[in-house]
Amino acid sequence: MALTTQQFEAAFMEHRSRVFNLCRYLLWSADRAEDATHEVFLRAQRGLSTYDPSKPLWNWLARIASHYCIDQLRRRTLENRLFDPSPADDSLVESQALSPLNQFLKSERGETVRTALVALPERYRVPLVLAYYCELSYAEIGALMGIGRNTVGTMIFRGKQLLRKRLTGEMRSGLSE
Amino acid sequence: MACPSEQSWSVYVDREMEPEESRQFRSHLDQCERCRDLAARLAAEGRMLVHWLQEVDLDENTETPSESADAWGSLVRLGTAVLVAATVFRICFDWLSGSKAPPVLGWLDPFSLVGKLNISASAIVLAITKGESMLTTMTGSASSALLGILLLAVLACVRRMPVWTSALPVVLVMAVFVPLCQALDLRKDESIVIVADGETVDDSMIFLGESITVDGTVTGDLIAVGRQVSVRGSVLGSVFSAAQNVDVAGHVGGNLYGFAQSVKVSDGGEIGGDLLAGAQDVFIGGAVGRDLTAGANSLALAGALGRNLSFGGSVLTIQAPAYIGGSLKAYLEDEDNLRIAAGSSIQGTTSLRTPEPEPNRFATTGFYVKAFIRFVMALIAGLVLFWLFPPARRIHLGDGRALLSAGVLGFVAAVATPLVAVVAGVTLIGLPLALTAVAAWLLGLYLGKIVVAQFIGLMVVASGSIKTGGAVVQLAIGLIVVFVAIGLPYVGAAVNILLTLLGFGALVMRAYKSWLGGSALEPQGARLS
Repeated sequence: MALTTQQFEAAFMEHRSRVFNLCRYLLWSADRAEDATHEVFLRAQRGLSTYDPSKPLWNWLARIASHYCIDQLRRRTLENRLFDPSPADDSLVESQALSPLNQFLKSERGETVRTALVALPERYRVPLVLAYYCELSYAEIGALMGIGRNTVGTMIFRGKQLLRKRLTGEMRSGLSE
Repeated sequence: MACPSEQSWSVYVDREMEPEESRQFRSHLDQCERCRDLAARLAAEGRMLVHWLQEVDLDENTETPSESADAWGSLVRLGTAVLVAATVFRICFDWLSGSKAPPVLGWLDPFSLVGKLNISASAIVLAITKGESMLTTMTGSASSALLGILLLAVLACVRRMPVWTSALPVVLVMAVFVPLCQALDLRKDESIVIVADGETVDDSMIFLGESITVDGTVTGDLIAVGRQVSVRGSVLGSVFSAAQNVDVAGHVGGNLYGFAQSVKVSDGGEIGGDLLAGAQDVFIGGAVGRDLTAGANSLALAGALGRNLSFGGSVLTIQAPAYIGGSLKAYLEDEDNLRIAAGSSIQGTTSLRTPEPEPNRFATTGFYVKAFIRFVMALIAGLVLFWLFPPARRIHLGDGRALLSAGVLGFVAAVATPLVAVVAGVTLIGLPLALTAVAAWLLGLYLGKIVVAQFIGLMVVASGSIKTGGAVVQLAIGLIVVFVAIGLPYVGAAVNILLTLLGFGALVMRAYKSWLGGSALEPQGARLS
């Protein structure tokens, strides 16, 4: 049984702030995230017939939102090579083998981590958000970003490396709150 | 099996490994303590990332009120603000236009027809007498402005400074070099033109000057533009004059066309042909050979008129011993304002028309047809706008701050854009910019109300009182509300202006934010709460 428009609106309102947060993570701007949330609402409303009510609504909305935001990010990147692997900062990631962040994460406030995350380059930020905020599989992330499943694994790993480096660097320089 | 790389373990703890490989990794974990430790820490890191990233939802959910609960509040706030402001606006306007200035100062009242005529006449006189020096000054300013823009561009390019930072030194430099403005210098210079007594100009003449006096004879036509135009001699042709005061005490063979604050044919003055006057006050003490047609605040006829008199305005006085050879037709607001003295004589008929009360516009079919056409146009324009510029769909006018900033910005943009366009247009190089600005301005003013309608429609739908949510229905609902609001008696016109300004301001702000958001630098929103 498909949702009626009214039911959908009520259901969307429940997920509205999650959609907004996802867009904010992906787009790195509260203003643009608000626009995006609205656009996701409209798109979902239009495509309501394609929604399978046996599955969680959030997953469906998250996919629409990610799709839209990635599209927005692509439009902003001139050469459209947003998620091209072989980035120039490979060396930066590989040179220092930093250990996983669990100790740090436990002791720090979430805001520091989130701020560091949104400051990551898009090619790392997007897969990290999709993997750890939306909890999508590598295959789903790959489909959204238009890259292979293995590349997603590489991106996520490098993203975490860079995040560790930035967070530990911040901790050492005493900038963390 | 040798120890896998950390990246492989990262994939493993994310449960993204192929089943076969995953089994091998698991068995390796049993043998290798170092890898076991690494995998455990990677798994913990993953869990913590999920926790920290999703944690933000918990904060937000408790704080953000749902949109639908607030939709009515937003609508009520918008409605109240607009209606109160419109009523105040209307009352002030009525008070200003209703409170009559003393008759002597009537010509200063900018709301009266005469006031408008007078202001235009003064503007024309000023432009003609001071136009040249204005043009010189403006050209000077324009060239220095151009220089400034070039300097700005060079600085911005060479130093790679942001435009606003580099603007500061340029403004400072310009302030030193810009010539002082002298366009509005009202010196009484020696621009007095006189055709002296006994002098004969055997041709038509065009006079531009502060004061123009003809004591001699002009055999052709006289075209005179100035502050004071006096004909005490003879003009054998016609006189075309635009001035503050036009006074004919001599003889005009042809017609007199007078546009002025005051047009006067003194006792002893004579117009051979027709007199056509648009003025505040017209006084005919002398003779007019043929027809007299005047649109004026007041017309007083004490002399002789060969044929018909047609007058439209507020007060018509026929003084004794006036003579009208033809008929009298008057269009007056009030029949009491036609005063015909006992000793005067009118040969033809006298007819007086007063304005009929306007029919109720809501009772005519034409009103609804027009409203419907405007509605459909607005709907189409709105859909095109939101298709081309989706952020406009999301304009929010629901709280006091948004209303105030949109209103102020709308007002400033509505007033400043034409001024900027005029200044840019003067530079010629800036002409395309000026035309674009004016086009955008007109478009923005038109779209303003549509944007507000979209917000109203969105709020009505979000409040749940209407069960459909299509974009067209939403906009249509909002447009109906807006159309009804601007059709309200008494405050409708003021509501129209306010909604236009609000929507225009909100649109400008939205466009600016989108433009800002589209640039590479994105300082705002980088920190997540």
